[in-house]
Parts: sequence; C-alpha cells; structure tokens
Amino acid sequence: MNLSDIVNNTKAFYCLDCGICTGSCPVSRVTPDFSPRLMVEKCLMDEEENPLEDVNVWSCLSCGQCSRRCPSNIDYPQFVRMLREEAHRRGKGGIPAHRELFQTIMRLQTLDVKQNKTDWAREAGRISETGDTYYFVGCSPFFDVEFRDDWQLDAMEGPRGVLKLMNAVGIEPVISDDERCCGHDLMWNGDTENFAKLARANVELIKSLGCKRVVFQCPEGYLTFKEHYPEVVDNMDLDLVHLYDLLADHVKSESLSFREREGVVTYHDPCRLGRQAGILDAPRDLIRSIPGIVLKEMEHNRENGLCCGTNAWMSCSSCSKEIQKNRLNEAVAAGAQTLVTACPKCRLHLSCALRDMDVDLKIQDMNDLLAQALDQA
Amino acid sequence: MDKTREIMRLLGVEEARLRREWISASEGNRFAAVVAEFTEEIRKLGRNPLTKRETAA
Repeated sequence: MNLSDIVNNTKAFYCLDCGICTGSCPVSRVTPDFSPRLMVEKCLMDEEENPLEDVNVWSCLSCGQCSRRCPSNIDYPQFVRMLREEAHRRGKGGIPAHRELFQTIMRLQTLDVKQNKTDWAREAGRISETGDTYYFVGCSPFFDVEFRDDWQLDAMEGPRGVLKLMNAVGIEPVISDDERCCGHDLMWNGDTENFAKLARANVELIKSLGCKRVVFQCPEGYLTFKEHYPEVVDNMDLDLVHLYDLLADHVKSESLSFREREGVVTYHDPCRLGRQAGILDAPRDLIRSIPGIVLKEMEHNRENGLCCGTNAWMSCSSCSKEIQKNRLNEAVAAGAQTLVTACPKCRLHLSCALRDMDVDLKIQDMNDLLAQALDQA
Repeated sequence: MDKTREIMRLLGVEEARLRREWISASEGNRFAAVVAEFTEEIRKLGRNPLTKRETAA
C-alpha cells in the first residue's frame, strides 16, 4: 500500500493542520521531534523525506488521545498502523524492548505449539474443560517469567484474581493451554501476517471448545478481539465481554459484594479499556463498592487519562520513563497510597518507572484488589 | 538460562533441548565428548516440535 492509499483509507486528507493532535500527544510533550500533525502533513505533501523511513513511525503509543480530539475525526492510530504495516513489509521495524522476547514468543505461537501454561489456574480456583464461557487469560504467564525475579513482581496476581472473581459469581470458565497471544503487539509492530495467524488460531480454539462467550481481563485482548479480529477472521460469532461489565452487573443485582478494606486508591485508565473501549464507569463502580476504600481521581482521568508510556514492547525510551513518572506523580498528588490499574502492561510499565522514584506509592492490579476484598477470601 | 528454560516449558518445548556447560579452551576432548553426547540426546528427542515441516510429496 503506498502513502496516498494510506491517506485515502484513513481520510487523513481532512487534516485541518490545527495541531490539536500534537498538542494532545503525550509523546510530543516530552519529545517535540514527534508530531502527529507533521507526519500527516508529510504524507499529504509527498515531500522527499519518506515518512516510512522516519523513526517516529514507531514512536506513537496509539493511545488515541489525538483522534478523540481531532475535529476531522481522523483515526491517527489506524493511520500509524497502516504506515507500520507498509514499513514492516519493507523490512523496517521499531526497536523492540526486552530483547524482543515477547515478539519471539508470539511468532513461535503462530506455529503448532503444545503449550503448558494453565497450571496456575488449577491452584487458584475452579475451571472447566468445556462450557459456555471462555476466560482469555492473555500473556501474563510469560510476563511472570520475565519479571518475577528481576522486579519482584507477580504478574499472575491479575489472572488469579480474575478466576477467584469469576468463581465468586458462579462462573467456572474454560481456559486452555493452546491459547495464543491475542496478536495485539504484532499488529502494532506492523506484522499483520502473524497477527492474523494468531487471531485465527484463537477463534478456532475457542469455538472448538464449544464456548460462546469470551470474558477478558486484559484491555488489549478485549479491544483487539472486538475491533481488529473481524478484519482478519470471518464469522467470529462470539460474545465478547469485559470482566468489569460482568462484575458490575452482579454488584448491581447484589449477587456480589465485598468486605471492608482500607486505603486510598486512584484508578489509572488503560488507553484500550477507557478511551478506546469506553469502559470507564464499571471499574470505578467496582472500586467504590468495596467498603472503606476511598477512590481519588488523578488530574488526567477517564477519557483524558495519560498513557503508561510504552506500547507493543517497542520503542521504550527516556520519553516513556518521563511519561510514566508524570503519571505516578499525578497519583501521589491525588493523595493516593495505591495506584490501581486494570491492564497488566500498564502495571508493568508504571512499576518499572516506580523503581527509580522515591515516592510513597504502591501499584496494584485491579483484579488483585477486588479478589482480596471478596467476602469468602 | 532459567528464564529460557521456563519459557520453553510454557511453550511446550522439551527442557532437555537446552544445556549449558562451561568448558575451558584447553579441554578439547571434553568439548567433543559433551557435544557428541548432547547431539545423541537431541537425536533421541527427534525433531523440534516447533519446526515441523510438511514433507515434500
């Protein structure tokens, strides 16, 4: 796909050159070299400088703040994704983080793997072999290997919490060793071919287990299934539900309640869950339904929530750290003792920055917070 | 090394396919013996499950 196709496809020619995108961009704020407006302009003007060669193609966090404010409704993350797809086809790529470990795992998962990654679930709660509801665990078992010893961070607290919560509302979900990564990161790395392979493998697997409903805790998995799987999978025909919508309904109908806890927390909206999937109230309602927990909002919250600084295991830089530190300082300024986030990656990214900061703040997985407040826990 | 082993386990690749030995530059015989032994072990395990290729018709 050439540049003019990308411009036509994303209607980037409607750009008014107003600069709201660049003014809203968390990357531009720290790195003025990066500007969504300029990148669109370069593509429109067909300048000699080829945007596909530009390192900044890989700097966008696809947080979507720009698009939400764009008066012409240009889908800038989609524009960047298409540029990346083309750049990837030409052998270009961003700088992978964590030794490209996660991309390697994802590409291996496109093959005929026989994985063993559900042991944790048998210890943490009750699961079923077949049934209506599938729980899409996501990549946490792999994150756990990378971060458990190095950062003393237990990435499995999230999935364990989810399973306890699902059990508490009477669901014994199906989970599977053969589940692949949802493909979100490869897609944002421009590797659409392998993204499509993962997507098809996952949908095929879930259907073969006889499940009709898929419950997600991971915002990326949820949004990718919802928004991007239909691009590469025909007749998905699965009911996609985010855990917090499901739990919030149970709290409303009083079939789920929490016991007294204490603490002042603030909620960090993951880009995928908040701004992009529009799930803003359910997580807040759930936190507020825990007696004794005080929820304080940070300066940037809900649709205006700040990004956690990195995306798709790529382009992690001093700019990422700056964004993360700003975010953590907002949490401290809000008077919170704990920053709670619903995204396993936001948790990792922000925890990384916290290691270099001297502030009195904890970071907790939302599902862990809720599971610890369960009546029967 | 431990992480690699753990990730191999999650991905379903036999852990016996990974081995680390420290061999000094002066231990030529030992190097040869270890490589021969490891090669035999891998041969017994068969082809890596991740590199299954379609056989040419």
